[in-house]
Amino acid sequence: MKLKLALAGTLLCLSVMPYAAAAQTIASKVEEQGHARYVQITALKATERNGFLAVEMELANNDRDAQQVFWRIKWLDDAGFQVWDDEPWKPVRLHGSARQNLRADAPTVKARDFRIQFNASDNWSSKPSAHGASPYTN
Amino acid sequence: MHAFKLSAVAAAALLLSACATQSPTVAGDVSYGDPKAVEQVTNEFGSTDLQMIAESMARSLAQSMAGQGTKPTVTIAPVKNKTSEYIDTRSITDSIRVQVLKSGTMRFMTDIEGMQNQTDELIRQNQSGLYKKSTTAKMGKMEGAQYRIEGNITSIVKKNNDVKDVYYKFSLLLTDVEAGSIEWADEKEIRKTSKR
Repeated sequence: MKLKLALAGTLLCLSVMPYAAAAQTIASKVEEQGHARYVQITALKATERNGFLAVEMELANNDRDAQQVFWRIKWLDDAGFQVWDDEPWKPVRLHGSARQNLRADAPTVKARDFRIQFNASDNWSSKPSAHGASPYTN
Repeated sequence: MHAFKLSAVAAAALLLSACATQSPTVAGDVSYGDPKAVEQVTNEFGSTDLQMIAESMARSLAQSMAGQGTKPTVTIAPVKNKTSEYIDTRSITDSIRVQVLKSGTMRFMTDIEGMQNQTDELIRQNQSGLYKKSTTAKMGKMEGAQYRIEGNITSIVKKNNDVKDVYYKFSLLLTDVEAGSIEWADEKEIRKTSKR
């Protein structure tokens, strides 16, 4: 019940807050590897369904060319401890100037919080790091 | 003088290398990678595809079964490989089973492939004469599964002079064994494109 109220409150806050404040709230839930040049998470929602946390985010591609990003979610309990193994990185290809919704359901009812780990192929650095931080192999 | 300077530099380098922290490894040219990283070596079925499929199916299945009073019992059948390449579909269903079990929403019963080992163990305990009767698992007490999971993976491959495009579709069904009704179904699509 407390979780439902907290999530409803978060959803309400994200919907009525000014853009800058909402962006700050989204940023608190995102662990970005590097700084994406063209792709941003522009909206974030979370709710509870059948005891499982469900998260939905909107990605926006500000470039006219297609962009590839990688994402996964770290699921946490109330105390901030990770409650599930690292998920596999998931690749997403965004068409030029497109927006896309991505949804994820928690794997366990123990998950009460989350962090989105996010990596864009096109970062402000010229190439993604090749020393363990990159989510892809070639 | 020049030779002295070179010797001094070499000696300093030797001393500094002796101060460097040694990593706890045995010499070799193997390096460990991230098992969760996205594999983009070829466009054939790979580890990332297996992981994405297993995660997507397991989450969907767990969500659909959540909220039930008692955990339903399920058995899983081999997934049919309808693609033109070799895919270890058992590995996919194993991953799905692990994740669903960890979610705590279902109980898995022994599947067809595991029945021989299950039967052998029961026979060993009950008919070998080696075990205390009070400690053996009794014959005729196995529970039947209420539902069975089955599915298939298909692919469509298209190529021209420049591009090879592979589309995979993994489908999974949950069927009520007694009623024969399909209670849940989901699918995962993956597209991989590479330049030739």
